[in-house]
Amino acid sequence: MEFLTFKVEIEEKIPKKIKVEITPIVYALLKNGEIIKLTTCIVEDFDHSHALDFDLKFSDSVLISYSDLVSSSYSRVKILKYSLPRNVLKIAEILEIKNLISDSLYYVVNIYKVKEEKMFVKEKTVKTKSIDETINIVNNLCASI
Amino acid sequence: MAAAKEISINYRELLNADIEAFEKLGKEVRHQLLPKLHEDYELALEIEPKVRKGEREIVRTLSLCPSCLRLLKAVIFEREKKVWIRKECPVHGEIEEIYWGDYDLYMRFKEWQFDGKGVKNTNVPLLTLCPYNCGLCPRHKSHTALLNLVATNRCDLSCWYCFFFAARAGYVYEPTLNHIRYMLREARKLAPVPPKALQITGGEPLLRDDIIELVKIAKEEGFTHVQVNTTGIRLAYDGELAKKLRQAGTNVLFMSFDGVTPHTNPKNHWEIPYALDNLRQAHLGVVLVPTIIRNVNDHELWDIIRFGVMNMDIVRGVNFQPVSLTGRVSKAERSRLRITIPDTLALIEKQSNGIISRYDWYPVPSVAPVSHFIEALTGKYQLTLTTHFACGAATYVFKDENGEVIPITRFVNVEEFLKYLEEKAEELERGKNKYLVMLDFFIKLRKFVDSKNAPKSLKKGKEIVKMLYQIFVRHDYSSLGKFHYKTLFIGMMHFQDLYNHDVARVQRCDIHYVSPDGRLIPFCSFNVIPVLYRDRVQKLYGIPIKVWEEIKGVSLARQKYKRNITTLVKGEPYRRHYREFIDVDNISIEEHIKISLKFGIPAE
Repeated sequence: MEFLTFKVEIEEKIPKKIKVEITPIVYALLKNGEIIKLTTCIVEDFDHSHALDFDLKFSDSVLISYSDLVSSSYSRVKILKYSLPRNVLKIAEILEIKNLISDSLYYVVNIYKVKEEKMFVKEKTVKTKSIDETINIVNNLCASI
Repeated sequence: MAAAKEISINYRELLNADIEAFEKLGKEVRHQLLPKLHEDYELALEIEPKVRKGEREIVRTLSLCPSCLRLLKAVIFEREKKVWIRKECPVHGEIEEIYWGDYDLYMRFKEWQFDGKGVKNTNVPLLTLCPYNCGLCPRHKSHTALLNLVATNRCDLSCWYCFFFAARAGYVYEPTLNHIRYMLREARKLAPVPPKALQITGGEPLLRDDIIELVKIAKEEGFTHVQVNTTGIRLAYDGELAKKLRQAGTNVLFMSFDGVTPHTNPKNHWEIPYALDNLRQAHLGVVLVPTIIRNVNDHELWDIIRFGVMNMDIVRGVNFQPVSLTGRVSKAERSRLRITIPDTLALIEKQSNGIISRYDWYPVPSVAPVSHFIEALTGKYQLTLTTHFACGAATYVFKDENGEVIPITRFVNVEEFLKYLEEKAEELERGKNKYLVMLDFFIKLRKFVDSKNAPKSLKKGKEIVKMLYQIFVRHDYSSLGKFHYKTLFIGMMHFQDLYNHDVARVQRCDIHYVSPDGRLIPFCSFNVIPVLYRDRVQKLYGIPIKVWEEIKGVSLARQKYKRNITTLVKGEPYRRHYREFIDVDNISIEEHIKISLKFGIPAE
């Protein structure tokens, strides 16, 4: 089973000035309650066949979509494909988002439930401003099972 | 089209249905109505359109093929100081269209882009790419600033260029009052900012016998601003209707007004004076809405503004709409008819001898700092206009005591003021003490107003500074109403068509239609891709004309308007309103009748 996410650098000048870097960190919550950080992934170049996946990931949480990529003056997007352990219960995807125009940093935590038919269902999305808060959310995953 | 064919609704059976029934039905059908890949459209994102010698690339975007609705990559570029869009369909070849008539103005306007915060609760999941996923979808960047409700597709006119009205569509689309209440409730669920402004449109909404009830429902459902989009023809004959509309809570009318002569405005030229007089009696303000077409009425732009200024006791604004070229239009025909926002601004500057220059205008999102400032100050989400900078422009003009027209930009440093507000909003968001910010605001406020160039009526007691103080410091908006009665709003909104279509604009659209299944659909998807949105859903919720006539016991054809030009032209209101613009006695009745007939409206 594979979990797909993106590492993104985007700079857009028209219509809106945007300069954002998105770095994902992926954790897996296993059925025995253990949380592991996934470190190994296959890296691929982005192409438009992944446009919908890109929009699903970022349109509501970061307010950027494929059309922003098309309009960007610079973009570098990599597809990261993580192999998941068999006994995975949930996925915690942390997106570290650096806004290089406002010089601000925030995090989006997406929690996915892994369904039997190898599907991921997003359970919740939380925005945080600090890494401590973000780690707490991930740790609380253990308590939720 | 296959997806829509699979679903059918017998609307006759829903005429007495309750709100819950419409809600259940809406939830059932809305996903099925969404356009489907390979059934309704194809993607062709491999082709990067070229930029040629003598052209300068500005930005790339997504667009549609006007022939097959394929999603294409497009390039927006500069050539000979104009802005163009080019795309290439693998089946239908290259399509090039003027995007904006003035590169320098484009670059000035782009500096004022502010994006919205998106919408938190969307009616459709993300299933496909923009613009085939409208409902709104999670990609949408702006909340609804103005909600459009199609009250009917019946119309008493049959303008030659319109394919929308019932007789040509082949069905009557006219949601019941319970259905409308459901639609409005669905729209009001939008978060974080529910819409408060509603436009009731058509067809001709005033053909509905229950229009007053409809306005009342809109008010009950929380719409504080209700405007009715009309030709005004019924109001020319029915002063009581104007009064009832006002009493029911209508705030303003949006009334078609394409020029000051019968040649440029064959739609409602003869009825406008009578409608205005009835609106005066009813104290119901009106915004004139001219559709501008090159080589048709673009020589009358300043006269239209003058007409508005001369009737400022009842005219609140003029909202120009450069024509959207719908249907198949040849390149030659497009070149002949196409006019863009900067072309219109340049003509107004020329025709007014510089009284209103192109630099007096600002793009719609330029006012976002006002919302940002109030939001930061109060901690409450505010309605924020965050359309694409190329979609619209606006300014205000004052009429001085001597009749002189003065744009607001001549005595208020709008640019500095808006930049200052944005800066202060950012300071507040970073946690700066709001009393310190307000103190600074109060001290600096006068700096933005140049009283010596202000209209005399505003010089007295530094009225404009007081007004700004009331709004921003005391949050007392009653002074804004006073401001409106001394000024004329002049706006411009260029809705897209398939030739100049830009997905970046669609994603920022803040004028949305509420669909009968409860979706909110951006204006330029609803009307620019009618086969996938407007016509698909309205046909589904429509009633065949014969069935409708049987239910109502009236003939649709008999509702067609026939104008009595002889009586209208001879009346005092006609002469009073137009004597500044045309030699009323120099146009024969036969000529008047000929103009009306040519447009498609029977006359005698």
